[in-house]
Amino acid sequence: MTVITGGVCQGKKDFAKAELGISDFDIVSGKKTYDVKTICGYKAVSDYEYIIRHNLENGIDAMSEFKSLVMTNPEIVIIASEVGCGIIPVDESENTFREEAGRIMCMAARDADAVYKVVCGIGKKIK
Amino acid sequence: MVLVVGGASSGKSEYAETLLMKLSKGAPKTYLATMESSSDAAKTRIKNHVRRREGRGFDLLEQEKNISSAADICHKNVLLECLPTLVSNEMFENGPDGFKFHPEVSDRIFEDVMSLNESTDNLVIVSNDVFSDGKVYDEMTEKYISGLGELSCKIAARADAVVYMTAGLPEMIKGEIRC
Repeated sequence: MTVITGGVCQGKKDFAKAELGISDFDIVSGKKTYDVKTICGYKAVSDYEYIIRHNLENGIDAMSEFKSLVMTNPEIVIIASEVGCGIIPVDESENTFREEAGRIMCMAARDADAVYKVVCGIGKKIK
Repeated sequence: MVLVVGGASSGKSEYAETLLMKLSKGAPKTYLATMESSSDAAKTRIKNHVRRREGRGFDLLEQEKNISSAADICHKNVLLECLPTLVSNEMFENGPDGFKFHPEVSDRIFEDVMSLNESTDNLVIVSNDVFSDGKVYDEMTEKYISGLGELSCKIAARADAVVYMTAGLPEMIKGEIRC
């Protein structure tokens, strides 16, 4: 597994394509599908934080879904925005989302072969 | 051209000023300010910045938008502060005819920055990391964030160096600076 993170609109997907030699056809967006089986057919999934949000909103165990994705496709590239740097949200569900996304990304990074952080389109290998 | 990015009050301005002082080697410098001094908070922030720049030899030029039009009257060493305010000034217009929203400004601002860069020996640009709070905003704010994000990526791609500031500490994420 490879993890690519960084803020929103920082060129993470373009970096993934250039660095890992994949194309748009290899990437599925978490804004378009949440289905693990569908995602497993791709080399990379972008906007993964949307999948976490969707799962939480629908009472699905986001961590288990993530584990099952990685188990089925251990080579997958996870592209997800960092979401934890703002003020702690007053809204309880927003707070739960940030924390769950943070925990999932920590686990992803722990198990990943490589982790990149992208700032202003520039990726840096942090693991 | 050097891009300096970081969170709020992470020491970006002070680093950028010191950097331009070194790069300019005593030549005249322009502080190109984009912030409108409309609110009390803005006035206080501006006052703090002005106080810090005292004695550092910057000539102040206030240009809230269309920064390429300032290129002719700038010195050859320019500190542009800051991109988020510039994008906001260009995107959200509060004119005599009421409020107007211009979502597609980032390409034009990029051209403006490039034309300013061509007319200078050293251009240092300050921007802000507003991209990692995980919030979903209203459509206009989302457009603003993506416009600033695209602009930052484009400028970084062309910059000689990009510096990320954390708690006053610079981290070179692209290139190196010799001065």
